[in-house]
Amino acid sequence: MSRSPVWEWLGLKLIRLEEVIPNETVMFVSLLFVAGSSCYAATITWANNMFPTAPGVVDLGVTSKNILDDTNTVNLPVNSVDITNMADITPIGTMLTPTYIAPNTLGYKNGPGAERGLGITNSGGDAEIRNGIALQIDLSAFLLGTVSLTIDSIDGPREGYRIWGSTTAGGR
Amino acid sequence: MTLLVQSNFSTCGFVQTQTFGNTYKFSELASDTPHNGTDSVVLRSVVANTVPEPATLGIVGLGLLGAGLRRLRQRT
Repeated sequence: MSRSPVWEWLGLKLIRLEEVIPNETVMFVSLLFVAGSSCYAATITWANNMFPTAPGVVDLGVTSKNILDDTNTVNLPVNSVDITNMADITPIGTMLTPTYIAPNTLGYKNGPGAERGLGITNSGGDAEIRNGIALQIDLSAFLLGTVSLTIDSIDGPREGYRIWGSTTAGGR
Repeated sequence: MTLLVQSNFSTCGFVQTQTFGNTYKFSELASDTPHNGTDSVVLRSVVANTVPEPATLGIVGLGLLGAGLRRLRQRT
């Protein structure tokens, strides 16, 4: 006595793929999937919207802002943070659990000269990043290979910068 | 957070670019001597190189491609 398949016992009918989808359709869909699997790789550049077109300094009046990329389609969240326990001299690899206080607002700078970029408003009125304040760049929405930061207005011989990395917005 | 880079002295108005891997999702750009009020910089650009989406679609597509090729061979 032969046993009937379970699906027949349940009143179902087994349908073969080729009965409902032509071979050409299967091939076309499969090629679309393969092509689609690699189309997410991209280079996204935030440069033109990092400073205003008009010369001078612009106070953005907020401590967090989404900056659009050069195609005006992809947002990069940036935050102003004020860290009170950042030491003056530390070696590369130093780990710091930052202590934050209320930050200043973000600002754009375009000039004098060729100096331009995104910074933080301060008592000097030039929206540059100084005195323990930091610009936090939030790349958590992106599946990254590498990221490059370009820093401007490094006026020698005294000025310079540090770049810290963290896995959370809280600096951990 | 972990200190990744600090600059050396440079010339007036100098621009520098630093590139990192994907270990950290957040970058904090600060001046290099935080308690010196004359040290100041601005962020000129960010360039993110994103990697391909994990091959979920590719795996499905390759599976379908294999099935299609097999059926074409059977037909011939």
